[in-house]
Amino acid sequence: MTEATLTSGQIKLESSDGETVTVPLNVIKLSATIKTMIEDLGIEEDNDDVVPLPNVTHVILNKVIFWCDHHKDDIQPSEDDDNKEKRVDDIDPWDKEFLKVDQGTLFELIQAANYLDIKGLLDVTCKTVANMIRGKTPEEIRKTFNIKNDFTPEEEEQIRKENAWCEE
Amino acid sequence: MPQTPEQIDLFSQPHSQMRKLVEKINYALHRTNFDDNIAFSKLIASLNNSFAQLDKHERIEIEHIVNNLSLRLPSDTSVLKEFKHHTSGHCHLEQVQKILAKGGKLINTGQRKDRKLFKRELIREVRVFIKEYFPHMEEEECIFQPLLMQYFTENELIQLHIKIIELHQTLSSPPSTRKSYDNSCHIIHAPNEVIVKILSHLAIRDLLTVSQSCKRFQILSYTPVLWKNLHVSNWANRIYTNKIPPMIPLGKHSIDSFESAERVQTILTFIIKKVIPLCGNSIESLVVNSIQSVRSNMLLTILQACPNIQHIDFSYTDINDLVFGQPHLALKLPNLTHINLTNCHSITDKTLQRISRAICYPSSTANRDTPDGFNIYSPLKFLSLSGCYRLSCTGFKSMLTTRIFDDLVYLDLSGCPNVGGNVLSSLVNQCPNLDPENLYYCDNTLDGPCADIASGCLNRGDSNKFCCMQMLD
Repeated sequence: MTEATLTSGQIKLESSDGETVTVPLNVIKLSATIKTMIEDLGIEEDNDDVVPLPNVTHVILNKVIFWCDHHKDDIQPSEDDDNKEKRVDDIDPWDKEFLKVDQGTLFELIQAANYLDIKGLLDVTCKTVANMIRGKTPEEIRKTFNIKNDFTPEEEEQIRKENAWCEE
Repeated sequence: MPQTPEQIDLFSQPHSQMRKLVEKINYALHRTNFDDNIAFSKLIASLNNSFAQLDKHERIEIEHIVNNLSLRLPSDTSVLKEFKHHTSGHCHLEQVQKILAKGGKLINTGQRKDRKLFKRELIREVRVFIKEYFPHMEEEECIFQPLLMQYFTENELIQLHIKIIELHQTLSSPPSTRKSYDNSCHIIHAPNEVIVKILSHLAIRDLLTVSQSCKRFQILSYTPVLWKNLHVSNWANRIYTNKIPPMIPLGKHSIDSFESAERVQTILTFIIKKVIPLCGNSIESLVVNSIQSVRSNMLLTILQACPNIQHIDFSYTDINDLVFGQPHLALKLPNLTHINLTNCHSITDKTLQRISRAICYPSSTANRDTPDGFNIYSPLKFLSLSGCYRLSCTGFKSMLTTRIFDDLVYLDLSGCPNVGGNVLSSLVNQCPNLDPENLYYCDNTLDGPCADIASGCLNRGDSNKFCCMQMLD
């Protein structure tokens, strides 16, 4: 794929429910998965090939594209940012607004960001979920995420004891 | 391929179940009369069921085997790429399911011609599916199984095996359960790697709370990447952030009350029992500073289980020589680059000898770099022994025979009055990267190195740290 293709070309994506969406390459390049696909398949500009995305519905795909479009000119973070101090409150206000969605949509976005390998979107969605966890009790966490408590009372008591030093 | 014992072989049994299923599909497909409406609708129902089972089988493998394995593999492994390929490479199963959905519409209404076309399409797609699916299963048996045996203990594999067999027994249960699974897009159904990613944004307190919510989260909370830094002092002071520890020890905030000593011991016990058995290899820093009564044998137990540790801060504690091993028990800490033992009054020359031995260094003639440019050892960058007044020339002489100072950029030996000027000079000669501004030693030392430009003693006038001048006063 040439640099010119990246700035001006377009690509067709097909969602799991059969809708085809045309996206500019300079927007969808944020997806490492699609970028690699294009490079490997050598898709040229104005090609009629459609890339199937069997794990992403069109509703979510449109949201993902909307996000990518807003962030297409961001400076890409370097690979080894992992050692940086984790700050969870630093979600960009636009993203915060964008992620005011129901939990189902949020998880579908996470799954899509993971599948499409869009680092920025995965980061910000995961941070949002982390914020939903912070400061809650185990029972509140279960309620928030509809998690079934599969510990026996004895097991629960045991873990509570082990972690007690951190709870005061 | 060598024979794998049955109870740790995660693939053979489910795969033989799947192979039988595929044979059944193939047989039914070719035997059914597509023009007979009842036979046709039965076929579609049975194929839907069979492919749903295959789909579930793949999901089980991804969730319980592939995801777990990818968490263990070092991230730079080339297998990992094949992995991604592997997990996303089942589009054909979905392709067949899509076509089957079309077939459902032909029941009762389909024209002869339509069914004929449909039959041709379905047989073609199933053939492509089978052609890809059998090599896919073989790949799992020949590539994944050996990897599993490399990265998991036998016990873990036995547990996984039980779980997987159990899950496969419910494969052919009615699809109603499957429906509810799909409808609930809850966090619990996200793949492990995503959940770990979410957990990586949490500080220890919230991480431990999550671990109490359910079994899956409990297991995932102890994923090694989440446990790189053990900030025992912060935790003991009820500070639960993920911040990198400060370089300058907080001598003034020392913890010495009886209640706090108990608390520190509880935390160290927690680390020994819960954290290091699973995550020892990923621990990079251990900060236990400003605590008067910390038990040296507990720190030794932790260090023994953390072979990749880089950063140690035990400053302002009364640890003794036991922390860095015993004569019959040598520690191996080849990645250690940062050691802060400021004001550890009780340590002696033995500690210096044991540290040199723990940092795996090559002999002076060995090449530091292998041909591919990979450092075979990692010399110290930061060393503070300020106020460790028992240290003498003997201890430092033992370090001089090594090359562990090649990268040293900070050396604080303030308040070590028994280390002579000539030994200090030989030491500094071995530190090509040490700026004299970052070199500190006792002002009373005669013939010390860089006497006019080194920064002198840091401990004068600091009542928290040992200084020989205070002794004179």
